[in-house]
Amino acid sequence: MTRHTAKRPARVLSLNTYVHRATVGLPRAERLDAAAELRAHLLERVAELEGQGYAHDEAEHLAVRGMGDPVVTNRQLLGHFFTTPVGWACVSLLLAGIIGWQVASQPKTSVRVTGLDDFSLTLLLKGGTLPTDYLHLSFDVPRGTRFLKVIWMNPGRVQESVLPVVGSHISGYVSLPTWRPWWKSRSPLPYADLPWSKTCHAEQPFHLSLEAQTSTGQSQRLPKPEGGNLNGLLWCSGIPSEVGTANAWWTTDNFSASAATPGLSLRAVKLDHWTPLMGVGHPRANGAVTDGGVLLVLPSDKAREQLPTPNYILTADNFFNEWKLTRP
Amino acid sequence: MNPLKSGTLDLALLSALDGPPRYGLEILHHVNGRSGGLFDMKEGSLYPALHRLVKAGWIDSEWRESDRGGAPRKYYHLTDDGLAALASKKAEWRTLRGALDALLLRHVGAGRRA
Repeated sequence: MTRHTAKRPARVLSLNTYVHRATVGLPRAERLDAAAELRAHLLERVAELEGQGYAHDEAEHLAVRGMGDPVVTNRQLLGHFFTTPVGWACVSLLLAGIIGWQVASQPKTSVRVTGLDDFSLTLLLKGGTLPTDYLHLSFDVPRGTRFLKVIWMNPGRVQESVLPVVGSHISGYVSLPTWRPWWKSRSPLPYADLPWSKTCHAEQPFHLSLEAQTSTGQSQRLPKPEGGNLNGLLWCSGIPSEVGTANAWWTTDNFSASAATPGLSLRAVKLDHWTPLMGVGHPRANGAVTDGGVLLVLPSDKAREQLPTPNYILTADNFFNEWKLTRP
Repeated sequence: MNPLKSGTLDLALLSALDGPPRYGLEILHHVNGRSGGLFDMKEGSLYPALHRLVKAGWIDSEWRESDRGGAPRKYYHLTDDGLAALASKKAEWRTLRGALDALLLRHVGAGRRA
């Protein structure tokens, strides 16, 4: 018997996502310059392709694909930055900061970002989601944690949940369907059980979940965040991509946003400290971030009623499609 | 194999800018067109390379309005150092090409004698 392995479709990034990923991590002035140049290039390529008869979505797809892997471009741009004295100064400061932070920090664990893994595949097999852009995160709560307070923060709205922590491992995922109507005629939907026309739309809500896995192997799932689609079925997201990163952003120490890199430990979760886990945005045609929000967690050994509320203001950086958390 | 990986990217870009200022897509079309498609340059790799040449002081850039009414474009042009670097790299290339030609011709001759 011959075993056939279906080739997964290439990742489809939007123009804005490409620019975001290609320029993330650069100093703001350089990033603005590089992003404007890349965006101008892509827009002109899209116009050229549209002139050749391609539909806008196809033209954008081809233009972005022609740019190659944004991670490679990003690495080259960052590498170039780190050849300058300013870049090395930033690296030195960063290293000094990391060392100092490590020495002074409390018990903590690191957040790990991955693409599809066993946990994610289990969810897929349960029929929960078939995402295109997908990100999985996991971390162990610090020793002594009794509760994990979770904040889902939208502009002007805060939704709180408190998770009693029995075990030590927390897993979460986010998927952002990026269904394009023209995919309907281009790629099969082997997992879809309902016609596209009945269940899918060009703009699907994001799908977000966070659950704690206990020492007994059971799991507790957090309530559905507003604006999300935790309990719904997203049959329209296509086949999971090979890399499986999500269009989701992690906030850095100064609470501005940066892109997630799968396989890297990005943040440490400290006892009684708020840790921004991810930002989820839903870019519109004009590049504005109009819905979604930021997920923050606080592991604590205090009593449930003593858990604090984060004192942040959430704003959208529409140029980079990012959320920003600042203190008032 | 992409010939641009063998250290000729800088020479190709400097050569493309040896004339009127050009913006990224124009440089790409110029290099790919003049090389008959042999230099199938990934578009995303073009801008890091250009930024590197700017930092090296070989080229400079300025934003200009698009003549088609689209988004502003960043035009690049050679600096005096870039002109000197281009001349130097051209000389290196001619030397390398001459040496390889001599080597290959000798091999061809030896093969024929055998």
